[in-house]
Amino acid sequence: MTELVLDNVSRWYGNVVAVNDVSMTIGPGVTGLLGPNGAGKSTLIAMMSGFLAPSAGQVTLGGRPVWRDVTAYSELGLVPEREVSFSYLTGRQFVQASAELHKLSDTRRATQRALEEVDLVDAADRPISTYSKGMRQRAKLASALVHEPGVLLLDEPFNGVDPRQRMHLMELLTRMGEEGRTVLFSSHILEEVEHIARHVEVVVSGRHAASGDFGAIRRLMTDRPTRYTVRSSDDRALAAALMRQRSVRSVALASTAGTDEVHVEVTDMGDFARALPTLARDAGITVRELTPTDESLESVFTYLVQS
Amino acid sequence: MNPTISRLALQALVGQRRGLVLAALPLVLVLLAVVVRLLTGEAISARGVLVEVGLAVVVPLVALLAANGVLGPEIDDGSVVYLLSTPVSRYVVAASKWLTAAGVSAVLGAGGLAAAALAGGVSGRWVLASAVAGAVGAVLYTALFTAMSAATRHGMIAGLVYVLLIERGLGTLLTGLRYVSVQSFTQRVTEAVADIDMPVDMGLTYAVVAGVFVLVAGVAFAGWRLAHFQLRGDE
Repeated sequence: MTELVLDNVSRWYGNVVAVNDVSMTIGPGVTGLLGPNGAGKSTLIAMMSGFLAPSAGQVTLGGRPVWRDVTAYSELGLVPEREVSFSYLTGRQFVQASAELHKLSDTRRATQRALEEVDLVDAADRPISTYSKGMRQRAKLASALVHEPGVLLLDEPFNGVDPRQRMHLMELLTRMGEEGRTVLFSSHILEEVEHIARHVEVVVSGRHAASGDFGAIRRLMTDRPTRYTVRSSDDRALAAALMRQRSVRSVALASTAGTDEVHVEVTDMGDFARALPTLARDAGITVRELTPTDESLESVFTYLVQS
Repeated sequence: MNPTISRLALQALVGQRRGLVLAALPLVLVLLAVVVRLLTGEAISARGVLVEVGLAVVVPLVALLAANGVLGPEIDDGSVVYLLSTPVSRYVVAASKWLTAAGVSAVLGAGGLAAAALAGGVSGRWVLASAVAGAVGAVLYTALFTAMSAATRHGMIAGLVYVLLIERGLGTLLTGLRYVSVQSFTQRVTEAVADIDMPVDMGLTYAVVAGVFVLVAGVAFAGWRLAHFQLRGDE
């Protein structure tokens, strides 16, 4: 009952294809749905949570289609990206309402348990309008958790949440995954996914680009040529020294807006990162600036899709 | 009906500024009755103040604000998801929200019209008629406006167009439009219940059937829209 299956799912709006023929099975544990903005993550989550009809294919939870089946919500919790507009309620009232709507036998206790689980008890009796972004996120999570669903879907849960609260949320999701729940969260930030997801599904431009263990995907992403721009006290000497490194594939001298710089292409990021400081010190060169030029997630995804 | 949904809808209505505006409308009608009575020195024209202003303007406006307060904004900003991601039937969600809007509007409509009748010094039967018209009108208008606010994000404008254009504007020119006018159904029913002269050229049976149809179809349509609610991502 806790396996969410997407079977050749597509979704289009007129001529625009948002999700293109995606098949995946989301099982117990934490799964990260990784992709750049606009890749179709929210559309996928909407279909997984029964709030969007697939144009083709089917989404099933425990073998039953989720679209237009409100009984699915007994097993499913959703934390939408959308803000709670019930800001005149207190956190406790908000979670309590959810418990009542799920027709739980002891709504008071379930509410308290959910609030404790997300560590929101202290602020529970304040109106949501006074909450910080992270607290709102936890209130939403508590409301989605109150009926202890087997499957929890979260759309960009870490967006705008400060680092400390982010750590807390991550621990919470990890714990729920360890309890055997199916937890899926979307993110466009590699590091977030890396921290908590054992399993990663990558979507790019509506297509299912990669799937599997995080380590494998991370290797795919890191073991690729990476470009850096370096500014130093002596670019020519630095270029010569860099070229001797095994991890460096090419070096070019260039000038941008009147400032000289070195463009380096490396094959092994880690090796390069370790070598550069030593090399510069030995040669008596001061490195003023080191910028990765294609570290953006989009370029990582482009590389992934091509490979 | 789901008490939690109704309670949340009530909190949304009375807990915010909308609640003040809602309560102000019937108060304005009562003030109008008082002023008219003081200026003319005699009892107000029941038909002029209670029907033409009360039933034709105040009741629909109260119903419009209430109906759009319980459903429209939540659909617009997507936060209705929090109510819909539960095993409660979407039709029950719509009906419970309508019930709150109808209840609040009926209290304000019936209370406002009856208070205006008393303040205006009209006869006893007109007080009863005002209360009936206010309550029946509120119940029917909220059903219609709840359906409109579920159908389009411009539910408020759609409702205003219906009241101002169909009922008020064209209705006075094309008398046949009384057959699709909630105000006409309400007047005909009130006339029968309170036994007063509030003439509408319409069979009572038609008025009752049409009124029940508006109510059932309006609430059912809102439920159907919620059953097909689609969450749009920001992307």
